Amino acid sequence: MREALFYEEIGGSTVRCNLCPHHCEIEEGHCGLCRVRVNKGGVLYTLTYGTLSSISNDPIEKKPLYHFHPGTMILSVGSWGCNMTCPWCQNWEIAHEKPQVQRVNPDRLIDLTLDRELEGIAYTYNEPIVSFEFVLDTSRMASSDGLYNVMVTNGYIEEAPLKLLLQTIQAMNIDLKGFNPKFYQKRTSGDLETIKKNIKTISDEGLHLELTTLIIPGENDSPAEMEEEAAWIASVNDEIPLHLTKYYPAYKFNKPPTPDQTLLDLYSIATKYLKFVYIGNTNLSEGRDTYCPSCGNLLIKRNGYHVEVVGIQDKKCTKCQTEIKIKL
Amino acid sequence: MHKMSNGNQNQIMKLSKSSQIMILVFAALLLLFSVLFFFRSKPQYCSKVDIALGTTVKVVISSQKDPGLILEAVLREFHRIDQKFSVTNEKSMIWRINHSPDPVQVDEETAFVIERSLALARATEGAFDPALGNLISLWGFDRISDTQFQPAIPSNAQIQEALEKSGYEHIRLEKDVVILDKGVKLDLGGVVKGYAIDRGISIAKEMDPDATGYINAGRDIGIIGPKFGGDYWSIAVQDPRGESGEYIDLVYLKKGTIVTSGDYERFFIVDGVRYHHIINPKTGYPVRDTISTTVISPDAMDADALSTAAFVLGSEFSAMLLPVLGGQGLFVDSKQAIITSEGWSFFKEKQ
Amino acid sequence: MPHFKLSVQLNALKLFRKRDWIVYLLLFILMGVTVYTGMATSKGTMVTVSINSQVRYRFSLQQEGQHAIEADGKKLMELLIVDSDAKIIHSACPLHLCERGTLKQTGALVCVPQKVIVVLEQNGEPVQISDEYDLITG
Repeated sequence: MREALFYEEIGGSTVRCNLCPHHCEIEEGHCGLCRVRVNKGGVLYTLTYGTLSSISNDPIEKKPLYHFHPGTMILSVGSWGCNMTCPWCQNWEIAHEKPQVQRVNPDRLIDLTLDRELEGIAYTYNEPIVSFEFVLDTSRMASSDGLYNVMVTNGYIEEAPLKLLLQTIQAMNIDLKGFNPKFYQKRTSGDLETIKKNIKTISDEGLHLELTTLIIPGENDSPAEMEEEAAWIASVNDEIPLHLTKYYPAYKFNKPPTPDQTLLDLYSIATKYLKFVYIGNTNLSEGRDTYCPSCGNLLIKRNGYHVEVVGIQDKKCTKCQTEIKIKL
Repeated sequence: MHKMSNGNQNQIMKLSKSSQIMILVFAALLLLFSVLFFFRSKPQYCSKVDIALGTTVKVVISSQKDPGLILEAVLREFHRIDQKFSVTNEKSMIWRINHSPDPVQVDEETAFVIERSLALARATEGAFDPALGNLISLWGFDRISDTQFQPAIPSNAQIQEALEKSGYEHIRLEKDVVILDKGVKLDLGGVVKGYAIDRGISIAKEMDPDATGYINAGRDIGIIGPKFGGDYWSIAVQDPRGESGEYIDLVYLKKGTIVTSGDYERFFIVDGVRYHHIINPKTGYPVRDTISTTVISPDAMDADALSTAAFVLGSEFSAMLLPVLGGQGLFVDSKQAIITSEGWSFFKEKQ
Repeated sequence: MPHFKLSVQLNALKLFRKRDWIVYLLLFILMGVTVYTGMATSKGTMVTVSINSQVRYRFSLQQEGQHAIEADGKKLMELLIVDSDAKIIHSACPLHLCERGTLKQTGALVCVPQKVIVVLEQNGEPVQISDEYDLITG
């Protein structure tokens, strides 16, 4: 167990964790909502420093990241715990149960990445924010070793810790769970305004950013909501790729999967505002490949995880020479 | 002029016939409304929910005598039993027995519960076993709610060691003295809830023999009396792989108890494999072939032990054995096939 | 003489008409008030919070916002009512298991360590979880 960062003592051996906006006041022997930050004797500890539930080579498209080193593999690691409470969690065994873990310290993890001849590490599966200290240390070391760092996250973090991460993380995929503040409060226990603010900060800072919305029938699938969401993302940067993914029943949610037609309808709405919209977890041919926003030239062809860059050369579209900001 | 003002005065005091009728109608309606409102049938059933034995306990009572008092008494009994038979509470009777190097003299109630548990263990040839304390503790199911619980699969050697220190045959009850041999430890988790339900029903009936209602302790149910005095309570059986509220069968009971054991109640997952709290006393590992068992029996303590035993014995055999032991059951195996004992269908219809 | 009486009667009738309206109006208002109070008291779906098996708080699902739940001078948790549903937040319990799920989703919110139970009640009786059965075992 390692001492945690971003907490304060508030008297009587109770501490307040300030990593995320929950600001849990944690009594002796208790943990925060995320379950992996524990108060022992008035000191807050992280339970997930170097304790990994999964280590795996994954195609980077699985994160999903489509505009960042397309077609390459990335070492993906996860621990356990999460600071949200979404009932349809697609990773619930590790986010909300307690998996078996193995100890892997940052330098060991970097050695592993280099051994496997991979170029980057993704902190993913469960919510990496709650393993803040581990992610920070590992990404710092990895960056100086020339490896890139990716976070797949819900974005629910306070400003100060986020600032630190911005220095060592090169790319993020943020789950924009929906665009209705009440939905956010009721279903995820997070709040929409914080996520929006963080997305803007991350985008302004110049990190590579992609967004994912899991479309759940009856919860966040209204066209009006997608109009608002897409319009807002466009107001930050209309080149941020948006992934609309199909939901399957999981954890405590048993509604039937999202109909393909819903995904297609929301896709049409989003493409009015955004240059790059993708549909995930389906066999649909729409929203699968990348086209030049100016001339429609096929830039990247995707067939499952088989990816081919066919239309980009020297950072420009091979047909119309428009600058394409995809990091190859 | 003079006459007019007289006439006016008279007319101010008197209202038109239609107005008079309207006022009368209104008054009548108001009276009717008040009667209906204040004398409407009071809620038939009173209920109270509390937390005991690590679960939610809901008692529902209809009684001509003070129902509130009965509800209090039943819940108090649950708390008392919780304290007395808890495995982790250092002040409990069980803790004392488990941590005493010498034989322990116990009170009548403890002797009764242990005696009955042993009888059920013998009847099921150890499929239900009250002496698995070491195994349960090894897997951590007695601590699964702790902040720092880390699920870990015990090694084969550890399991073997715990198995050596398990087994109801190493419990001796001589009159009112309990002797534990070979370092075995008691864990009565498999019957305590049932026992508490039985006690709750007794207390309710003692306070009012005509009381009706039920006790629902973590979805193990004991009936105090038939619905509205003569009707069946309809009880659904949770689909072990469905969402909460989805059911695979429906039975009707006017009396008796119904208890379910499931692999979804207390468990952890490692490498995609579920490890749950119903351990096979022979192998030391969680039972794989069954995912849920439901038993109907006149006594909840029996139903509780039998549902655990049935889990271990498997659907086919349990369907045959249970009626012999005074229970009827529904069992779901790991392939989600449902099998019932012969007398189960009796409960599917309102007789 | 009859002519005079008739006109008086007619006048009287006119006066009565005016007063009639006032009477009718009053009756109408009274009716409205009675029906409204009748409806309000008989159709409330309330969220009830019990601590240690005593009902301590009652909220309507329309009372949106965060409500502190306290006992013995200590804050146990907050009840968040939003979107016609309720959930527990900022609970002072060790594992925060009670903070997962919403009231309508799970049927009841329970914090075992702090002995808090949150359920929906209608007319003082617990809201039926299903119209297909009285109870469910499992």
